[in-house]
Amino acid sequence: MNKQTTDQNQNRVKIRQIATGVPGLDEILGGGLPEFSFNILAGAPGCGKTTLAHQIMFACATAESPALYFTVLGEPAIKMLRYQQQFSFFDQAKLNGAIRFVNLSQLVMDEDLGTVLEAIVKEVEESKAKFVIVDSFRTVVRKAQAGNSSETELQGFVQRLALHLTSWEATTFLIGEYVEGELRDNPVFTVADGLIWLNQSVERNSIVRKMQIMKLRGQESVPGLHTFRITETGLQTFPRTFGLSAPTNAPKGERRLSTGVPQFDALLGGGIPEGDSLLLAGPSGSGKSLLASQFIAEGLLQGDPGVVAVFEELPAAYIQRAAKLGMDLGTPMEDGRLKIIYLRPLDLSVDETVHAVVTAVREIGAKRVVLDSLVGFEMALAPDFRHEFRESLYRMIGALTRLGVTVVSTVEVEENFTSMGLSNFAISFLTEDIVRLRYISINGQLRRMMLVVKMRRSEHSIDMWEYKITDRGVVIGERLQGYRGLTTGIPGPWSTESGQNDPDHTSDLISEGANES
Amino acid sequence: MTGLSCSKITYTDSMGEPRVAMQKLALRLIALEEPSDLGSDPGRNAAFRVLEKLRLLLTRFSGSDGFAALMRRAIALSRPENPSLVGCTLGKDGSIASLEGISVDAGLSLAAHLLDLMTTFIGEALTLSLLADIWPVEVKD
Repeated sequence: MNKQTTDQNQNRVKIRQIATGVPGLDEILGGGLPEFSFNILAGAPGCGKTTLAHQIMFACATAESPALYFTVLGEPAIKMLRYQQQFSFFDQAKLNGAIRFVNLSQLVMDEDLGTVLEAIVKEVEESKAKFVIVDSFRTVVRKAQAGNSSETELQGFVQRLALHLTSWEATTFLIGEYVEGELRDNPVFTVADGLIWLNQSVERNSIVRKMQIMKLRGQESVPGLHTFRITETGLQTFPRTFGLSAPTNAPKGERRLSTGVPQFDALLGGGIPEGDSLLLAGPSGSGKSLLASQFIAEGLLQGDPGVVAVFEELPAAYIQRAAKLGMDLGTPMEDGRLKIIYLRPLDLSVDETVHAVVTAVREIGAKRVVLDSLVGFEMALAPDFRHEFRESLYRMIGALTRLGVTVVSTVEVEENFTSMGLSNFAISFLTEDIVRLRYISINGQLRRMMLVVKMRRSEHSIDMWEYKITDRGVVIGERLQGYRGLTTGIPGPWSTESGQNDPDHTSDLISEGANES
Repeated sequence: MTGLSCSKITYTDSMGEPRVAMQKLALRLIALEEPSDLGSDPGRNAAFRVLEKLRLLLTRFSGSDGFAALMRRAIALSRPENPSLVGCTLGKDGSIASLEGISVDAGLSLAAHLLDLMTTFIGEALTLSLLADIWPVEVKD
């Protein structure tokens, strides 16, 4: 950067960013709400516009920077207060001091746009409001249109309103019920500095809420649709960046993490490289969850706090199952070195899951994370998110490994005896390391076989190993030699007559997504 | 018998007296207004001054229609105990069209019911918070 450019940058006006008080929203906005901006909060009825406006208002308004909330022919103010005070952000102490409600319904009904503008400006000037909300602005527009105001008059009104409020150094939100088709050539949207679009989509029995910053002048917001949830604390948004957009110094492969099964570590070339994501793929009962538990338990012994996200059983059951195999996960849970999070809310989103895992990782400084299992995770998702499961997993695993944690995920594979699939989702490209567990039929016994399919950054065993599940966990047995067709699950004795004369290296098919439905 | 247990909402007599706390609050507000009244019927005037101030307060934040709706309900609730309200009508802005013949008790009852309705809808804490805008002194016992 040359000196001239540096000087130009230093001379630019700095737009202060206001913290919205809505978890995740500041990141989506690119740092916060631009001060003195004139914004539209748009969306269909019931999608959370009023709640979002209240949440921001209660977070921002102070006695020195008061807020004015104009209600216009929308939800009656008395009912709005009745419902909004149920949210934990609603601070009654701010009412009639830092926050004031003014009803403009009658004025809008009886008078023209100019008079409405005068009333708003007068109230803002008298109260010295720094935050102004008009709810619903759409009704003002409708009234103007019904009163035969031309589009030019309406644009003039919006433009003058924006001018006055910005000159008065107020940050403004106009709330309106709009559908996407109304976006084009709408004078309100043209004048606005920011346009936050809320939407809720229904698929089958689930409702998914999403937010999009369609426009934001002066700063770079995070593009795309971000999911959000409304709870008793108000809106919680889940940025697609997972709060991990800053550069990372996370360690990658500097040390090897033991899985708690020394022979398994040896197959991996010395353990799992720190910061990697390893996928354990195998059929039901093949010991995926057990290996993952051993990985966590070993970490706790080594001083690595851990997080386990379970989708198919409750934490208590998970701890109990581990205890039967000699792993004490209860004590580290109690003393804060381990978090087992059970994620099965209705209509779960991937972003919400990552948020929960990332929060848990940060809270205890976790070094190891287990996701058990990806199939259960997919089942817990709202149908709307299942369409993009693979892409979401890619973002999720990327986000987690950016934190520097080492991730072990389990995935159930529907076993067949013709080929060896790695997962049902064709997701194996997402992970650095893949281990495949499978059943094999030998001498009339259903036995278990393990194969390290891929270790992105290191040498690893290419042999197939028998293993057993014991009351001490997974125990690796002998290398399977003298068989052909091991990867099909129905091996036969190796025969030089078959023309395959290299018994050390299988030529069986390893097909990713072979079971993909 | 083993059956489902369920909680039930019990509705109190909707045409009954306002809650005692709201009656006390109304009395306290009237008492706060009385000292500034040098007229012949200070209690009655004070009661209606309280109602007028409540009208201005509620109109500002919920509009004249919002206030008028609450006031109509308050009159309906007060009327059985206060026959002087039988002919009471409201203006477009929710103010009482004529105070002629309306007793001081009726004024007190109206104020108490209005406060009771506010408390029902938005809770006591928020109601008191709004009232503090007009009566900055502590209004609660």
